Amino acid sequence: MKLRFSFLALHVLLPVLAGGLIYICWRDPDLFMFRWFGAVGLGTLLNDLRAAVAGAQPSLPRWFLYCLPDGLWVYALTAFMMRVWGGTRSSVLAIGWISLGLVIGAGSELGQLAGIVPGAFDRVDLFFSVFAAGLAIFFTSINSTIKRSFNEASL
Amino acid sequence: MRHHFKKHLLSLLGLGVFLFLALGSLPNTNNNNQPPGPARHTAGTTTYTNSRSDFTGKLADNYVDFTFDYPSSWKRKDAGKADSPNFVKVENGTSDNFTIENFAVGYFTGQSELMPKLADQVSEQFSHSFPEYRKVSQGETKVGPYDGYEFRFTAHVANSSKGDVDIWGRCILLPGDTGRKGAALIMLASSIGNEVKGPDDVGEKGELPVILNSFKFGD
Repeated sequence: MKLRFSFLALHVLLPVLAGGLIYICWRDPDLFMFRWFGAVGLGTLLNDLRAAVAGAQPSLPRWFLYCLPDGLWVYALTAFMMRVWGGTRSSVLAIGWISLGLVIGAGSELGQLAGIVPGAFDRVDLFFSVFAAGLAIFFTSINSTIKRSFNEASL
Repeated sequence: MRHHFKKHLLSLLGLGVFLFLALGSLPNTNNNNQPPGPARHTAGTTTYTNSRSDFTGKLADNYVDFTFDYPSSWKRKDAGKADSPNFVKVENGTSDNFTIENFAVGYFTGQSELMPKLADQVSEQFSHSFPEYRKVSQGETKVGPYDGYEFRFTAHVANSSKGDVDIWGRCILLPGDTGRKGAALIMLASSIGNEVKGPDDVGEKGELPVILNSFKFGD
């Protein structure tokens, strides 16, 4: 099991950065991350960035601002776990780790629906979580299948 | 199991990093997004209760019941008269009438789906009232149990008798509900005060949180 940088960059870091950028640019500034950014001296820089892109916000769809970042988080976590556990023989533990992103993402939404998790249930959020986990499994499986074919061809 | 030890360790580390990232997207517990529960009277505050009989014209047409507490040291300013869009305005100012913090409640009608567009329109109106006006953020927010939409802005007054003064503002639009009109909560703070240091502090630091946390629509 090797965590190649190209894989991490494309399937883990990029989605996390993209989701983080949406939060930084357009989400409510009353979040922990903004306190952390302020504590490390990035507050002014981020304020300038937010001011520069604030004009774009009205034209951005709700799903882009509020559902996509969660979906990207689920995608990145599932892809990471797929990379770590891909190629191992199926086991309950491996499946458990791989489905963790889906469990947390979709589970929190379903928990909201059941009233045991604070917040309002949003079916679009649920869709994004399920779709992102499925997409991550699909892409990372394709990735490893292609690599396996190349390896077999070169033998 | 044993040969998977490294995988489990890596998975745990990865999960920790992802949970840390998720923590960053949680609301700051020191802010006013926390439901304050029923409005309650705090020591040293005065309760303002909106009354229909005080208004005529547009304010009467768009009247909404609400109450909030404000520090007793603050002053009620002229509002609710003539063409004022505000039902009420309370202010903490200096002896020579410079605003340290103020809070106004204006009438507002609009569906929640149109909030971003309406916020843009209100922001455009504000841009004509403040020098060097700049909107710095906007997005969904909550005031106690009420879902709203807000934008924050900065302005700058140069060469006043207090020198250069930064102004930071926050406008929260609360849409109407069945049988109830909405309201616009407008908060201003300036660099003359000691506690508010930027647009993100408006309604979070200083004395404005006392007001915001007590705001409640009437039944």
